Amino acid sequence: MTADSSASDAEVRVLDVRAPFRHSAGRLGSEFLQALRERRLLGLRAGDQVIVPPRDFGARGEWVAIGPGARLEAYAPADWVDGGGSCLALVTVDGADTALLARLRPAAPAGALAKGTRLTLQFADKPRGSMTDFWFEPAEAGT
Amino acid sequence: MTVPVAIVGSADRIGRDFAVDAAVSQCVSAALAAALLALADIDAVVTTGSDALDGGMVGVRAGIAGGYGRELLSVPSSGGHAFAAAVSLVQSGQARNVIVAGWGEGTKFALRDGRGLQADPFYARPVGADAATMAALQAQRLVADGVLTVEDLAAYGAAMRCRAEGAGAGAGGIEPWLQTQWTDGACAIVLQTGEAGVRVTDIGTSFRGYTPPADDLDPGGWISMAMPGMENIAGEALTSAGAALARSRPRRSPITAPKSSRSRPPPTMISRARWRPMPAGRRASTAAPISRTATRRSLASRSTSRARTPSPSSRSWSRAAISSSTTSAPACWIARA
Repeated sequence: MTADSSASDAEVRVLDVRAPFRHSAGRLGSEFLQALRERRLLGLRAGDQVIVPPRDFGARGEWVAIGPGARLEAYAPADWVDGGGSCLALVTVDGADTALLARLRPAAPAGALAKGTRLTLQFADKPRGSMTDFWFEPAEAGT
Repeated sequence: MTVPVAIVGSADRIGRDFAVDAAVSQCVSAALAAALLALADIDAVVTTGSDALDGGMVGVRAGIAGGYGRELLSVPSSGGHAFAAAVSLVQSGQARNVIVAGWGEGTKFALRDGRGLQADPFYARPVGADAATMAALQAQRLVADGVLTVEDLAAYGAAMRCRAEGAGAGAGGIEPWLQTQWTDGACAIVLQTGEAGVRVTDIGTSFRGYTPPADDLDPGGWISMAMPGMENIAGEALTSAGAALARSRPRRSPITAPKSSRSRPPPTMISRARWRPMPAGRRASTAAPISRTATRRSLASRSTSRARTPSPSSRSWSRAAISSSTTSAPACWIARA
């Protein structure tokens, strides 16, 4: 091989660069995520509202169990979520005062569901303490 | 007592298929000409860009904005923050003439919109949040709450497409009003000590953190103070787009303003919808002119006319109440092909 190799001789390799890091979920986030491992969805009563997921406003709060019933506020397709099997939705869980961003299964076409549709909370078989441990499904009639 | 600050010159360029760095230099020159100043008169340069786009580069590329050899402040977060920082430089007496230059190549997002990385890493990002979907969810709630109608949003979307000078269609199957319209742009604003030009009376409560009043350090109070002004500006923007905004209903908030804030009148905001609707069908040209809009005379007359603007409570947009959707409203307005 000569020193002035042509470009076609150049070896090209794909380098997979990752930068993993550790970051605390915080006082409230840790409690919330750990409860998910136990299939419990918690809201934080802060002032006159129950907030989910919890946000730290610096005030004392009280954890309350919320769900499993919920109400649909809005939804939008998200092809990249669960291979297109889920939508992203804003959901107000029974017992909470703020809407939660969560997955809605199965993926519903435009206009198929109305604001206020009753939903029910579902947990994965093996929850890992992540927001992907649970999702919402339309509730059966009468529930 | 702080020093009075005024905008004495500005220029911008919006479009695509042009070199953004050259556009920045052209905007700076045009803004200086409008202000009847030379670059040598500038004491400090503030550069800015969105932290999701060119924000990381506005510091190292400050030379294209005239930053070489001058006091330089880079604010790689947003134009609003940069404006507030520039105003603070003048108000505090650190500079008499300041130029704020910002730019961004939004068309990069047409290839890949990476703003999902800005979602909350513990709650929103794992679920799959992205900017377009979150905007759609928020829009649907506003529609369902009767704050906006789909027609309002469609008009706003059309106006934004016009503002982007006929950007190409978004992903197939999405309603036109939800399609993102990316464009490139550059802007320069000259601020000066004194009363001439458009007087800056408030930097906007969102940026109050730069200059908090000594007796009011609660950000919740700043937000409460800002809401009437924000509603005012949103109404003006929608009116310009041919749409309307209904008065929002009082909402409970976990944050309560301190009494001192609640008793104050809402701040006057300097930010105004200053865009000019483009004729339908107009395409961006590679030779799109720099729009030099602010001369001392025109700014003075604009300031005078603004003083006669009716109060927010009497604006026509507030009378155009939007019919409220109810629980029967569909919760999803996006149609995919």
